[in-house]
Amino acid sequence: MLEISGLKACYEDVVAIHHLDLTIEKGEIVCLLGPSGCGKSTLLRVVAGLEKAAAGVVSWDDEDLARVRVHSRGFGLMFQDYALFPHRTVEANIAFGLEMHRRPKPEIAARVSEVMAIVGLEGYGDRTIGQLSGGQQQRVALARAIAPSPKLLMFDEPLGALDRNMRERLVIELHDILTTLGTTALYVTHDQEEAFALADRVVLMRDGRIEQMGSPAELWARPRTRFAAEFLGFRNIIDVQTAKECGWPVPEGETDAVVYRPDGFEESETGAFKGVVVSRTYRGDHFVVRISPTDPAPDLLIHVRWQPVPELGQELRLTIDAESVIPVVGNAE
Amino acid sequence: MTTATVGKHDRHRLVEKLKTVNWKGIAGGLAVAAIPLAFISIFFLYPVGSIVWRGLAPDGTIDIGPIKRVVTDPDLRQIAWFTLWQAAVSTVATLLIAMPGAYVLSHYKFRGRSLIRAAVTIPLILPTVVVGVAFLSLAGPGGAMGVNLKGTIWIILIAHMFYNYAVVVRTVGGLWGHLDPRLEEAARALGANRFQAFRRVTLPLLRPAIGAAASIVFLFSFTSFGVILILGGARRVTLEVEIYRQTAELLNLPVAAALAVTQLLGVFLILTLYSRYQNKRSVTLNLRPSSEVEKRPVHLGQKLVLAANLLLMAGLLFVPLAVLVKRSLTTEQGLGFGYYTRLSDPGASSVLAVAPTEALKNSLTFALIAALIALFVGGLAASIVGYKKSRTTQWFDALLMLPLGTSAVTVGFGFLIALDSGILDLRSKTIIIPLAHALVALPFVIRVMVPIIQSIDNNLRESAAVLGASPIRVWREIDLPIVAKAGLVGAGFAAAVSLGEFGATAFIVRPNITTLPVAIFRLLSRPGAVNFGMAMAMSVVLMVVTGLVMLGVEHFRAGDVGTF
Amino acid sequence: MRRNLVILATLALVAAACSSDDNGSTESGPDQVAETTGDTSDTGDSVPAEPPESEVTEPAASSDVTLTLVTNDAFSGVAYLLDPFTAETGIEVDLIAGGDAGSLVNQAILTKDNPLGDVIYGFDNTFLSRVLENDIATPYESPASSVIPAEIQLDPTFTVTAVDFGDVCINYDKIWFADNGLAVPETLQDLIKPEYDGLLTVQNPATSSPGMAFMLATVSEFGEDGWLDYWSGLADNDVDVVSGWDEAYFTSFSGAGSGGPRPLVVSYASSPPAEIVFAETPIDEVTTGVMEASCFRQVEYIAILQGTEFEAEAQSLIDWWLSDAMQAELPLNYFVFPVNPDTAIPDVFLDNTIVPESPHTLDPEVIAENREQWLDEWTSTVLR
Repeated sequence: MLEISGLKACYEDVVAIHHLDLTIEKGEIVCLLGPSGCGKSTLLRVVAGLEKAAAGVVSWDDEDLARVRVHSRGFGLMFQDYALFPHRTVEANIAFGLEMHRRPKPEIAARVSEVMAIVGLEGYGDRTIGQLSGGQQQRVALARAIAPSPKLLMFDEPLGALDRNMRERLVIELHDILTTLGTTALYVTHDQEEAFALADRVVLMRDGRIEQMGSPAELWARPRTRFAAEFLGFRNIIDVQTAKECGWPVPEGETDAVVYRPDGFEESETGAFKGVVVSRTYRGDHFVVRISPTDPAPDLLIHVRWQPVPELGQELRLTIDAESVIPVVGNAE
Repeated sequence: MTTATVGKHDRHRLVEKLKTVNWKGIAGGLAVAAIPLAFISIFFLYPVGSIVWRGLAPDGTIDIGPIKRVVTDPDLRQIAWFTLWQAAVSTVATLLIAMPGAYVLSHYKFRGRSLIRAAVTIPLILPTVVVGVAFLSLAGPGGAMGVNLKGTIWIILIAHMFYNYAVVVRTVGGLWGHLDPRLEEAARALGANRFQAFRRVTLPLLRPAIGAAASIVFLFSFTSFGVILILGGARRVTLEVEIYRQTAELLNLPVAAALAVTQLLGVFLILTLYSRYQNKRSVTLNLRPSSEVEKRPVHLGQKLVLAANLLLMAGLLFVPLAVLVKRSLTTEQGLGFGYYTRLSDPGASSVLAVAPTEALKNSLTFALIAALIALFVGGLAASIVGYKKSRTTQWFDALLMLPLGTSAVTVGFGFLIALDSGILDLRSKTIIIPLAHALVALPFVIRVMVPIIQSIDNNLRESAAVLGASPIRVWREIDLPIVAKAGLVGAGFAAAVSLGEFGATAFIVRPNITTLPVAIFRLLSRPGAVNFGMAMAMSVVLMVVTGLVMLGVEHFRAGDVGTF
Repeated sequence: MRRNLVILATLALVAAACSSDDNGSTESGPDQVAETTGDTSDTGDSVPAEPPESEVTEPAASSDVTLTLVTNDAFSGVAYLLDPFTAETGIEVDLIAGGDAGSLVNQAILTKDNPLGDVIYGFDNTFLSRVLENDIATPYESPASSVIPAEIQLDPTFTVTAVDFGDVCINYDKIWFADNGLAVPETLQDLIKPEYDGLLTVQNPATSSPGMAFMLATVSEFGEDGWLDYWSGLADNDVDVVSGWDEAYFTSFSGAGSGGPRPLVVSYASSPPAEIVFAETPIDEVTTGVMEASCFRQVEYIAILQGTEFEAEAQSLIDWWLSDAMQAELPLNYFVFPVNPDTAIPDVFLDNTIVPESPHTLDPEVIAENREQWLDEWTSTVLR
């Protein structure tokens, strides 16, 4: 079990992490999600032992890691562009960690071919790194990281350099491999889809602090802050003040803004939302319709699954179901 | 019948094979190679060949007597052995001491770094006479440090380290500062301790740069002359010193030629070993911008490493330089700028023959011309060597390194008897000076540029070609912008070589033109406090000028990949 | 502009020459040096022949010839001494510098078939035989050569012409000997006495011309049978061997500016007057002295290289070199004695140097025959 408490860390004199607490259970896959500069990579590097904490404790199974050096932690780490050793073959790359742990040669050979089978690299052992495609390199990096059976496997934007299709395919594969191995994993990404596809728990970070944390479903259902909503890609985020002025529904309690989920709308003669259709885009099973409210509010996006689809210029009156109205705190940047 | 058919078949196959040969590519390569080949042939192979032939075959047939003598004479064998081992030890010692420096100067950001990077290059250009003064007043008989190292191997090693520190820092640091730091981190995370990560990952990746630096340091130490003469005491003799004695003093050309051949063989052997070592496995590196590599030292450990290295540089490099500065400021009236004032007063000494500003101007002009020639010829050669790795280009590479490893006297006397007629009668032409400088500077330019050219992703070239760029266009659009800055650093080295006039250039008969080093020699060839003081002041001027040239190079060293 | 400078230079030289003739006071040396150097800096970098400055002085010379003078490093520093010759005759002189005396001669021999230049100057009597044997020079007996003493000229065929001479002698640090209450050694034999242990610095004869001269002095003193024993004695007395004169004088010697550890050094008889001329602040008495018994005579020669197109002009250069104008300049600019005994020598030079009555000499032929062998023997005795 990885426990981080009261962690503070700096990167070149700038505080990158402020007093952070986080616990990762054995076998759990945790994604650190956030924009660049939010401190997620620094957190990972501190856990790996590549950076030092300015304050706080990082421990594994109640052992304080402060005095345990990088190479003795028994963690695995995979970088964005893989950091494969260009002077070693595929096999030799994968064997590196095992060699460092002074495993006997036959064992190394067996483990290397085992791991290569897991990641689907059979027959590539003699290749040099330069001969591999991006996806293959990614697999080598994964194989190299899992070969010594690390207690904790860490990923620093491992798919960042690949194109979207490849990324989607590999995320699924990666998820399967991680669950099969039952490895504890800490995964850093700025891509929410990647995080949601992989993680048991997503930790959304902002400016060196945890903004919100929870299962993908929880986060998706209930972003707590305006930043979380924006970063997760929610639309129709309206200041409370504006919403009230327009007479739109506002939930009880303390809130700074309201998110209206685009798919919660339906047509209604008595709806609180009024506006003219300014654009509509076909999206397979639904249309995305942009309406420009007559009131002093910004445009709203609405997912339309009913017939007939509103025409351009048509005036619409809409209502929204209560579950699709989410209060969030925090102001626009 | 059968044979005929087979023959026909073979011919057909040959024709097919010939069709697949990239004739255009070969022709293009030859065209680019022609200029460096011509340069090295005219200004090195021909002169050295002439003097060696004159020595070995005075009557037109080779007399193996002197070769036999060189091989069997225990004294000469002793000299050859000493030359070899002192060069090897110097190379290893310099690498050991300068590698941490290369790391620190390429990985840590701190105030005054460019200044230090420029300053470590200064020793490279200082005339050995002047360096001898500094070293002997520190560690000579009655020296300030209280130990007399004169005549020992130690002071030779220290002097070679002093001269070559910058070569390692520049060549190795240049690559190291662009090596992806995550490679070492990945190794650490996989369970390698610091030393293992360095030995198993970083060191193999630095191999091309280490090899390049080692080859230059080795050649420099192998042909060491002034250092051996002045610091080594009269008992230490290298091949270079012996060749000088046999050629310039005794005119014993047969023995000199046999020794020169021995020296060339030794150098060639080393260069072959070097190219084997380089060729074991060539890897394309994913070079990173230095901004991703450099960091400010924050932790105590990092600060200590930095401090220790700066201290070492201070001790090894800056103390001897400081001695010279102090000497130049020590007048009978106490510390003052008296000797500098005299330098700016043209009537102060008859020995200079020209105003010091004139000497400075001459030096700078020669440095500029030499740098341009070395850059042009070296740039072409580097594109050949770096573009494709083959046996031919390796020979070519070794060939171009030879001038640095050949006795200066052999080259000088070779010039004398070979370049003596027609348009090649350069003996009384001014151009011979920058030409000779360029010849010695060539290896520096090539060694700096080749790793960068090799690091260019061939995809870039291919995509440019697909987009319709001719080979020349590809070179101009892709290679040139990337290598231009490396070229600039190479040119900086060339300028430094020229400013210091070391190696072959010291023994070349030439028109009477006063450069800074010549002026320093002249001042030191006369008794009198003024001459000595002014020589010291002028050495400081030479130091400052070199420092400025190198700072200029630093200025162009932007943070992106492909710069040194 | 250039022309004006040359006129100025000429005037300055004439003035300087006069003043040194007139009084030869202590101050005149440096002044003269200053003027000549300053005004000739414009021409110092041996610009190739330009139109002859025929209007400059009378009689105007008609020649637009450029002579190439192959010389040693030392002389190329005082190339301005040749300016009056150009002014007088219109013959430009380009210099080619070829290292030290030994390199110079060897280079001339190697390029015999395609000579480097027209005139060679700067080799001494230790290389005389090598020049004569290799047949690189054309004899010329200048009308002015009658003044040269025969014991200096040495070559009766006038293939080469002696133009100046000096003595290589041990210099001593007067202050050191006074402070240490030790008598200055008087004979070479003294130097192997225990009280002079660790005091002498010499140059390696294999790499240094004064080093060679001093070795020859010991051969002359102790004979071919005894000189090596003498050197064993010196070696036992911790003689310091260095590679070149500059290192010996500036780094090892305690008497010159830098304050090295040893009070005895092989240098020149002319070093003390040079110390005065190049003193930082004017001094009346020099603190270094010359040990007369150690002196070996070095004569420097000039010769016309075979194959020159400009034999007449080359001859006129030799004539001029022997003229009083040039001979009088030599002491304070080049720190050698003129070969013409009648030439006036400035007091500052004479007062601070010595002219040994019977310096050591050796027959150039003997030197040529034994040079390599002596060097080898010396090396085995002293260095191994």
